[in-house]
Amino acid sequence: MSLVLIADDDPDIRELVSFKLERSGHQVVAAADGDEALAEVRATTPDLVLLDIMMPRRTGIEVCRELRDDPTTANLPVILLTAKAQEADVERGFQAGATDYIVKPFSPRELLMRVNTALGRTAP
Amino acid sequence: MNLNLIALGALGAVMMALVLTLVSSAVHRRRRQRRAQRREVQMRRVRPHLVAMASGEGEKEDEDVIDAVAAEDADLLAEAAVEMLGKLRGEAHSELVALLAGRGLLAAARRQLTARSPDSRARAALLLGATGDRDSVADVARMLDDPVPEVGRVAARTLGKQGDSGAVAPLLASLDGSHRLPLGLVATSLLAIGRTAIEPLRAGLASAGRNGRVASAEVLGRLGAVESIDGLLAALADDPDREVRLRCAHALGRIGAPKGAPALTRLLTTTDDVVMRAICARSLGEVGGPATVALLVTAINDSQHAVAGNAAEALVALGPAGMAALETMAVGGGSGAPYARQALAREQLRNPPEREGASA
Repeated sequence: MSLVLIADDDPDIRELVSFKLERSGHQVVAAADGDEALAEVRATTPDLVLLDIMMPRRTGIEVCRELRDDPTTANLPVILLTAKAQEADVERGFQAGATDYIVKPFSPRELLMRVNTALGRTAP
Repeated sequence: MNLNLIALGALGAVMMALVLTLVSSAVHRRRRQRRAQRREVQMRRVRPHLVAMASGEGEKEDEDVIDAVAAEDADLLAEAAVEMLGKLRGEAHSELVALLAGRGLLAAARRQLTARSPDSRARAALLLGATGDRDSVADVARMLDDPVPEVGRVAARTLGKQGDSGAVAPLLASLDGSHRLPLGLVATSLLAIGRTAIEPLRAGLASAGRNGRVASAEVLGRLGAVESIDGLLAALADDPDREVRLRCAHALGRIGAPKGAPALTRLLTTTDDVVMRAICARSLGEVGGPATVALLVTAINDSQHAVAGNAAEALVALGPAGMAALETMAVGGGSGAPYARQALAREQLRNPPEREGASA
């Protein structure tokens, strides 16, 4: 059973994602902004992080970069889940070190597949 | 004395009216707050069950709660669903649409498109747009001409979400009709319809009203519609309206097909229209080949800032040959040197060199 952190300032998104992942056997913790997301990562050491980009306090891109710059979280799978859909946004996301990039509106089913795949890739 | 009494009486009446107004407004405000609180409680009640249904994991309990809310306040259920629908696609979106259709909410919304209340008409259109309901496209298109401008705007957005190419002609017509809709709003909806809009847009470029032709050129460019190049070239040469011609030049650059290069080159070197020269310069960066480098190097020395700046950006877009020309100009002096340096600096900001030791 894996622990997934979902960070998004939209409570509907947090609820949708949490519901889908919990029903599929994952444990989920949630954060509503970038600072909270980093605090949760340090407190709970999740197996995967789902990040919205446009969040208060710190953007998902900034959080992703911080995670990559820290040796203890450099290999943590990070999936960006965002409404920013332009090619330049996707490029920026991968340049910041994201493992995957999902554009909103999203399919919870597809999201689950990508989460499972990303977790499978880092399984020992 | 009598006058004093009358004055006092009048003042008393005014004071009484003021007190009554204040009390009535406080009561009214309180009622509105209570209604909003009840609505919020109902929203919180129904949302988790909508989440369950959208996730494909809904159970009987979830359906029962949703049925109860639908019976008490169908509008509230529709509003909650619309919020959620905007965030979802795929199976989850379809599940919610089926849920609403099964409870008669889509049929009710189609009927409400002709309701007396503009609020009801707009809410109905919002729901049909969020569900992508194609059966109501013609009815929603008729609302583009609604006497209430905001309803017309909601209709335009809805048509974009419904995604049916049958909406293109009415959307283009709405730009030049009696209740003209904003160009940006309509263009966004046309873009949302996607590539199926290309054929009707090509027709619009040739035959729509002035604003319709402007929107057609703009959206064809943004869609990257290679099949529209001939039409764009024809309009660039012959359209009587300058704005249409400018948008065609821009669109040719966006589409990026070399077939546009001769016409853009001719205009860059012959027209007095500064804006057209600037757009042609920039577009040549997307459609030009090695021969374009020399032309753009000349254009960097144009006396007009917009033309020179765009020519420098175009050289960046041309890749190694253009970048080499910029680097030469940047150190060579001349009026184009500052534009060359600026373009090189911007490119370095956009694509910084990889940091040493950065992980792959």
